[in-house]
Amino acid sequence: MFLGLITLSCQTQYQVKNHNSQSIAIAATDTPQVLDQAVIKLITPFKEQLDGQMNARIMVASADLVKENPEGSLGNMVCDVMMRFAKLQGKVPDVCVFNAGGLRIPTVYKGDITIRTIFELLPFDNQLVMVKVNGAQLKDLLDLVAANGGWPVAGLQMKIAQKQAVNVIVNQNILDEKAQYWVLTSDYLADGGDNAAMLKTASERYTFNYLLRDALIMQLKSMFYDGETLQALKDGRITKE
Amino acid sequence: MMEKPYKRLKMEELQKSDRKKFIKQTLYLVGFGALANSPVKVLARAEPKKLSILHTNDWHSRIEPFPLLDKKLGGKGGAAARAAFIKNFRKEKGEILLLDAGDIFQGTPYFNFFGGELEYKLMSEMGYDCVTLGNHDFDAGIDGLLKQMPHARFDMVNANYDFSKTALQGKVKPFQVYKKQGLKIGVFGLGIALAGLVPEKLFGNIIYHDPIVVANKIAEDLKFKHRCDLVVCLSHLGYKYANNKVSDEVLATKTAHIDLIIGGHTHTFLPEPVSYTNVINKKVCVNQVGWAGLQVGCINYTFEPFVNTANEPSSALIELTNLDN
Repeated sequence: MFLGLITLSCQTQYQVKNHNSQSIAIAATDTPQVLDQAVIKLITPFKEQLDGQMNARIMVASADLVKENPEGSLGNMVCDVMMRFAKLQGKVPDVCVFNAGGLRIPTVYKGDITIRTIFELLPFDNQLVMVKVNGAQLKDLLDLVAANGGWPVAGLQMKIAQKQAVNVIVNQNILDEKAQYWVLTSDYLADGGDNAAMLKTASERYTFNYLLRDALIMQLKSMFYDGETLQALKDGRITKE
Repeated sequence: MMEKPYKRLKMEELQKSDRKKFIKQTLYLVGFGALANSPVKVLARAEPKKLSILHTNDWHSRIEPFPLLDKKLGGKGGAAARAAFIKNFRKEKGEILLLDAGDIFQGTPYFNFFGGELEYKLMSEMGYDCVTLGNHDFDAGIDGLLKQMPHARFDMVNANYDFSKTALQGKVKPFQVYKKQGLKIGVFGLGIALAGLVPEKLFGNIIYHDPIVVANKIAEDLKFKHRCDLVVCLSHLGYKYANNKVSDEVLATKTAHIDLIIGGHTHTFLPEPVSYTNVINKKVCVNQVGWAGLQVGCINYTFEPFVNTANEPSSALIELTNLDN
């Protein structure tokens, strides 16, 4: 009988009386003596496999390249370099548009750019593609760019007014809703990701068979080989009212 | 409008539990008389219990500290420093609960080349108890995630994705109940809508359900059916949005019976947990510690025997449990 009672009593609950909290900053350099050796042992063989290929320098940045709204030197660089890559592949896109969320580090710092840098900038396995849209679809896409406060672009100029794209210039001409345009972008956006549903109805698509990061790495390598370095360029391609 | 029938249901349940309590108390007093002891004395011996929760979110494969070239983050983070902190903390406190709110994968070449194997191995070494799935944990597809699961010696929870038409069925549980420091802690997971965020070919046939509806059901079960002392939600919904998209803030204010929401996705560095009032006028804490393993969140709880006006005498029963121990 009494044992039965004990079983019943096990169901009694507790409740929170109070709590305190803190966030502990984790940093290796401040406290080099407190690194967990078991973890270091686990990491080492993986790190050794990566370091050889990842630490290779492929380019030098002459200044910090920064992700910014409505335009930033990092987004501009990625789009400009991708346009050059496409041209070397024999394709001539009119414009280039990527989503800001696709660039995963906020700053590429002045100095050496390694393959690791580009992996961290473009970690997703997205393909570089080109889609053919009419001017009205392109306007819809640029309205999405505007609604997001500005995304990385190349080959166009526009102003953001009331979250819409206005005064759009492509190839020195005002955007023509009836004309056809080739948009260089990622398969993520071309498949309608990040609300780019208007690209799903593109009339044609060309796939380069290069991941975004592989295209960028190839192009930066060849530019560096030719003696170029990266400048932080902001040319007012997107302005805000 | 949804709250009314819900509240009525609760009243019925309270009344039901009152009747149960009365029977228990009566039995208790009868049994107690036989032991010839004083209930007051037993009450006084009920001691508070303590439990610490450590948590991270949005690790994004940041296994090494940030490179020194990085003017803001150079040298910060890193799994080796985090593990050292966690292991020391555990040495000091004994049993703790170690949780992560998702997006363990993606962001450095460690994920591109090894698919998350090292991330899971390191978290196993650190002694994680439970994690939920973020959108980027699907970046290598369902098959990619499945392939890494043997490296994870911790539970994965999500309650609002229907996995029944996928290979993840049974591998990701809606919730898990933990016993730590003599307390019962229910942990469940909530994930963000994957459509439009993750390519369809990667998340396959996972069906997304409304997190609020699911959370109310699961949290109630954890509190009353599983009689958990603390109900924790691991959420990858995001802290809050400018529009009315569901977030941790919405979750906290539109549900009942959740005590703590550990969030992720928006990479928000909350200086301290934010307190909200839920639909039954109780406090809910929401916390999120940025991303990349730059911080570990730490919440130290003190518990007391469950008391409210309908429930007070039941606190005396706790001592019998302790006698049993």
